[in-house]
Amino acid sequence: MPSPLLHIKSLTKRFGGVVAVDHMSFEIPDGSLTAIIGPNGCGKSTLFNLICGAERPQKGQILFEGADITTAKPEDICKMGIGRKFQNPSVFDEMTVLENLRLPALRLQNAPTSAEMLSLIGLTDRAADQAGSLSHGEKQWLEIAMVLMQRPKLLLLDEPTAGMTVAETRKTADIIKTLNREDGMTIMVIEHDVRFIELLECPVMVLAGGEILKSGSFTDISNDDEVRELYFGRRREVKHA
Amino acid sequence: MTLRALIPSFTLMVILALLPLVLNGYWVGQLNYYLVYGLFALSLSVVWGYGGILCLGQAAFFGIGAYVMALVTKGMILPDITSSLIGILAAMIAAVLFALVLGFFLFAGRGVQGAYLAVMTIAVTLMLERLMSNWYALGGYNGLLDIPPLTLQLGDFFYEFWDAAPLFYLLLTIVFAILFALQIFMNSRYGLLLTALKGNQDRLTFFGYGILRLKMSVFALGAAIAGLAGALFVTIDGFASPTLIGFTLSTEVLIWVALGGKEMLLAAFLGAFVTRFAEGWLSEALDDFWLLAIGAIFMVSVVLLPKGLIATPLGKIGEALKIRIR
Repeated sequence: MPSPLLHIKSLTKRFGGVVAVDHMSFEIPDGSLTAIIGPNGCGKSTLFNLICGAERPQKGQILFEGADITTAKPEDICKMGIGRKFQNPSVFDEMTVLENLRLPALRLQNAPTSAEMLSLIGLTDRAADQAGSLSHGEKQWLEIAMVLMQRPKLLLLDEPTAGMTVAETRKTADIIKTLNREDGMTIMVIEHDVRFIELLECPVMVLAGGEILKSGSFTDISNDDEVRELYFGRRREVKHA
Repeated sequence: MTLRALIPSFTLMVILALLPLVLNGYWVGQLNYYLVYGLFALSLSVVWGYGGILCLGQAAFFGIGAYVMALVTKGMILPDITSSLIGILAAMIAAVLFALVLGFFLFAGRGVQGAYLAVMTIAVTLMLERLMSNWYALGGYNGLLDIPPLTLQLGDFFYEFWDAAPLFYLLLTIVFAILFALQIFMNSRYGLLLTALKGNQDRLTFFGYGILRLKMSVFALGAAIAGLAGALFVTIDGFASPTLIGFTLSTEVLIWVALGGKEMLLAAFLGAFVTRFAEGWLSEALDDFWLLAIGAIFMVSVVLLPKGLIATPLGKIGEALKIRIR
């Protein structure tokens, strides 16, 4: 059996007395698409922060392609092939769309062409515009394209459709599925929008209180009583150490 | 970068080059000071405008350059080696080394940012000013006097730049060579990285770029230029005093750069030129109230023209010519 691309082993992260990630363990196979859902404060973004080096765990281990990246610096983790899109669109407003795309590729020799990416996100006509003038949804796409310019082996997308229209959300789902199915890119997506998760047609991991509550297909998850209660009924209490 | 983008700077250089033909010796001498102040303003524009590091102690590097130049050319380090060129190189190296040590202290790890960084740089310049005021071997409060002018030695040829006009053309060449080089450099990959550093440091980190190295490099680049400006200054003035390394000069350069436009090298350079000229003119016209006038202009400019009094119209000219003036 091939080793997973990402292996999370008993990962724990506390902020003061609050346990954000609690002895979490899972594996992400190479070439997979995984959605992560859960209520606010369940540890989704903290998990991404730990994987990409923005935070350091108190316990546990993160293995990427078999290498221990638990305490590696964010820039080194990025160079190993993990790309991250932030929750709020994080582009360089003062630079043009084209400059935004050029920037991540400056240190790479075989980056995709900017024209390819502009075409993928439908911003070819706006290449010379300031990124700050783009709509929220366009900024989200631009940031995804910027991360893709690095040809990441693992793409972490933190709420990629936040603030998007229904049409934009559908287009984003199509882009993600294309990247995964045609280019074989391993992708993890954090999302609140359950309809978007359904569009992705992929395995879903539900987090609650810093733990994995359930894993399975979208149908399994959406029919699970505990998950339904979590989303539509009583919320779990925040854990304290 | 197309050479067209250098046209405004080139035009300014040509205009300045013609001025000694119509100005008397006194004003050419003043222009020499303005050129050096302009060079100093470029150093802060690089650090603050392009690197996003608000350094309120830029005079520290200017002063280090000034003192090292004075020590070398007066033969106080090695009596047989008093060459201007060696003095300039030593001044720039000393300023860069100090910037690297200070930069590592300020930026390593999570780093000091925002207002804290600004306060730290003020503290450094105040400490240095106090140190130089009490360092009697270096003249203490009275400073170092009789610093020789710039000299040029090529084989048997030896020339001392005593006269204002030849010195003016030498300074013009040095200052504009640096301005052109910076304008080209800031339009390169490095300039793009600096824009990103200033705009969103976290995003840049997650694209695999080392923030510490980038910050240290821009801090050191600014220090090198400030050190050069300080070295040139003392050869014109003949005098190195603690005020050259202190807080007052640090705030003055901040005003020149903010008034001109910190994000445009040419505007920052002109900011120093125009403000120094205005200071002279206003002090004659308004006596002791000239500082109030400068302060009022500064406040109005920051509120109404945040990009700078000179950068704003220059930006419009750039748009009309379809060039990006740096």
